[in-house]
Formats: sequence, structure tokens, C-alpha cells
Amino acid sequence: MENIVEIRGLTKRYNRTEALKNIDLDVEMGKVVGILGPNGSGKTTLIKLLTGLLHPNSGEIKIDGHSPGVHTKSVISYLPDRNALYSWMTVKDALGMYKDFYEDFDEKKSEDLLQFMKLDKDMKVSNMSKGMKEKLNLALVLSRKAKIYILDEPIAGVDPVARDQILDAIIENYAEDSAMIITTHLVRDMENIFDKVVFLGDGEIMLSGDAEDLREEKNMQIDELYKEIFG
Amino acid sequence: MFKYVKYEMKGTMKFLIGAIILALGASTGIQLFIKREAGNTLVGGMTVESDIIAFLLLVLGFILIGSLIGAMVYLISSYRKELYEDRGYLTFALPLSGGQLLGSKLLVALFWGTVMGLVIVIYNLILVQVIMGYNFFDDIWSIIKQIDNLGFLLTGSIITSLMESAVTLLLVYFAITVSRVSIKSRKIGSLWFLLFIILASVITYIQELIAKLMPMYLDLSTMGIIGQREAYIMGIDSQFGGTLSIQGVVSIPGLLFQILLIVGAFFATAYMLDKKIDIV
Repeated sequence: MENIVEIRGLTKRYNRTEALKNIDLDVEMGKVVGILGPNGSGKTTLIKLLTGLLHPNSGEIKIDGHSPGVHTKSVISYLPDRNALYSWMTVKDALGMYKDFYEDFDEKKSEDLLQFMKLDKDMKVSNMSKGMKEKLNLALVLSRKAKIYILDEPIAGVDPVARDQILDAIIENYAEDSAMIITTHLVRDMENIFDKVVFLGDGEIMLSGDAEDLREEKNMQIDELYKEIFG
Repeated sequence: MFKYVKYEMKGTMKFLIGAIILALGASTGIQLFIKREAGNTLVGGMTVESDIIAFLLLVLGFILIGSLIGAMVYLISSYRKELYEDRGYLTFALPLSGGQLLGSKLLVALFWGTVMGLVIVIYNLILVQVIMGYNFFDDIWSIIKQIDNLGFLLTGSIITSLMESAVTLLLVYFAITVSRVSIKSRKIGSLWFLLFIILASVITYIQELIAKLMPMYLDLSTMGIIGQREAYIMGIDSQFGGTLSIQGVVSIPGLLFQILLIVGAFFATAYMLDKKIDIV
């Protein structure tokens, strides 16, 4: 399988603090990669570098053969770790924006996902609860037929019912001809989704590999391995 | 780019239409108040004393300037929010170049400024006629009738006004972006205003210097070039830079400098949006 993401020697600093230190990472097409690590480990920094929201101090990122920019933004479907939809928007406006900006947006799929998430098109974003906003953002992201999906902490801070809905939506809507990168520190809830896991701590890759191989090799679940590494 | 213009328009429409309605309401209230207070100075209800007209123009000027400043503060803060608030996570993840984003913001700001100015001025002129019985349109028409080549003058005036507004807005965007790139703290980032004042002062000084050293002007009513001698006869201030003078002329070097400024500020800001801004 070809690599949709190739990262070489990636370093990112905030003033004097090194958030990422010389990271190398490949993501193959068709795989779901879990970036696992505690808060402050550099997960969101890595995601933001991939989505072009941050710029690296050194190193190289190639997504679909391009450096982060207009092209890569058109092939990435990104779920940030917070609601970024404009406060004046209704659900209908948000759908319209995705439809206008992304050629791969599937309107039918968005209708189905909104129904599944029990979201009304006339609802205003600013009147929604945190869980509802999370579900709306996920519905928008999964309604695209993107080459790469990047989900930053998709289940953090939502109630167990919403969490199950979100996980079901991710599993059911994941397409084989794309790749998915998910960051989380809630490993137990998500570990069955991952084909590959990357343990990130203090801006460095502590361990990475095929999820199944690691389970067999270490004779433990990914969640237990996470606790062993970061505990 | 026009896709983003659509959402920028939608996002700013509610506030700005509200501001226009408020300005029109204030104009109506003030004109009715003046009419009532100055009722005894009206002759037969059809003519108005010149000092009342002067006062009205002053009030109209305040309402117009106040509304335009309010609108610009709102639109500038909308740009700043992209760099400092969560909405930037959506905007900067869209497949848009820095130039497209900046161009959209600039177009929408110029659009609202123009609409707001025109609506408030035309409404007030009509209102003066309705409430005071004074026809400003006759005055304007008698001035227009005396102008040769009105089309040139009007087009030139619109272009130079838009250029002047574009330079100011782009300098503001540039100052905000430089502050964001160099200072991470939002509070200290408010110093963009200081940077803007310094930049605007330096630019005005340079523009006046250029105009003084190279006194070449374009007469918009004839589209002819005039030199220092004719300019002196017409009473044009030798310090006068790129904008339209009361005599309907623009300084050619000043105008070129302004075009350079627009291009330079636009590309420098767009470059920073593409390559330097970190959404944290």
C-alpha cells in the first residue's frame, strides 16, 4: 500500500519548548492509525501540522505527495478538538459551507448522518450542547469522501451515549480507500478501531507498530500497554 | 474566493444591517428634533435658515463617520478573530490560500463601507426634503451641471476613494497579522493598533514627500496631466499626496505609491497567512 502521509524529521517548538522532536512517521492508505498519548504529549500539535494550522520549525511533511497547503486541505477531512463552526451558523449553513468548499462532500450521506445523530437542520450552532456540536462536526467530517480523515480527540468530553454514537459513526462510515488518523487518550474505548498505533510522549514517538502485532508481542491490550508506557 | 465572500457576507450581515437601521433611526430622530426645535425659524415651512442646514450637515457627518467607524471596527475584529479564536480552526482548514482569504475580507469590508455610506447619505438627503422641505438634490444637481466630463470625475473619485480605503484596511490587516506572527499573547497582540498608527504616519509622510518632490497631477475632469505651474494656479497644496483633492486632481506619483502599497501590503499579509500564522 502507498503512503498517503510521510513525515520526516518533524520538529515543532513553541518559544523554547519543543512540542515535537524529530518525528518520522508514515501512514498507509486504507489504515486507521491511533496517535496515543497523555495531554501535552504533542498529539494535537502533530495533527495541526498535518492540517496546515501550524508550520514546522524543521522537517518535512508530505500528504498525497504535497506539502501542507491548499491541495492537502482539500483532501483532508479534519475534526478539530473543539467546535470551530461560526457561531452565527445553523446546521444548514454548516452543510452549505462544506458543500461549497469540498467537491467530495456527499449530501445524501450528510442527511443520513444528521438523522443518525438526531440533529435538526434548523438548529443554531451557538444553541447546541457540547455533545451536539461534537456530533455535528463529526457528521460534517464523515460526510466527505476524503483521502484522509484526521480526528483530534473525537470522544473527549462527551457523555457515554454520544460517545457510542460517535464511535458507531466512525466505524460505519470509514471508507477503505482512505486513511484515518485519530488522536486520543481514551484508549480503551477506541483501541479496536486501530490498525496501527503510535505512542507519543513528550513530543517523541515512544513506540509504534501494527496494533495486532503489538498485542501478540507484548501479550497485552493496547490500553494496558498505554498504561505501562505512560503510567 | 467568492465562496468565502458568501460566508463572510452572511456572517457580518446581521450586525451591519442592524447598524445601518440604527443610523437611519438616529438620523430620523435628530432631524425631527431639529425641525421641532427650530420650527419658528422656518419660513412658510418651505425654507430653512442656512445655520440650520450647516448644523444638519454636521450631524449627518457625525452619524456617517460614527457608523463607518463602527462598521470598520466590527469588520476588523472579524479578521482578528480568525487569528485568535477557535473559528480559525475552520477558516484555516478550508482549501483557501492566504490571498483568497484576505481578498474576501477586503472585498466584504469595502462593500459594506460603500453600502453603508451611500444608504445613510441618500436617506438623509431625502429626509431633509421630506421633513424640512429643503431640496439638497437641487444643490447637488446645480454643482454637477457645472462639471465637465462628469463620468471621468465620478469614476476617478470612486476608484481613488476605494484605493484609499483599501490601503487603510490592508495596513490594518498587515499590522494585525505581523502582531500575531511575532507576539503570541493576545493581550500584547492588541499593540497592532500602535504598529498601524506608526505605519500610517510613515506612509503619509513618504506620500507627501513624493508628491512634493514630483509635482505631477492627473486632472480627472479632463484626464490631462498638469504640472507644478498649473497646479499652483489651481491652488493645489504641494504636500498633497495620492487621494483626490477638492479640485478633482490626483498626484500621479502619489497614486503609483498607493498602488505599490496595496500590492505590497496584500502580498506580504497573504504570505504571512500562508506560511507564518500558527493557529494555537
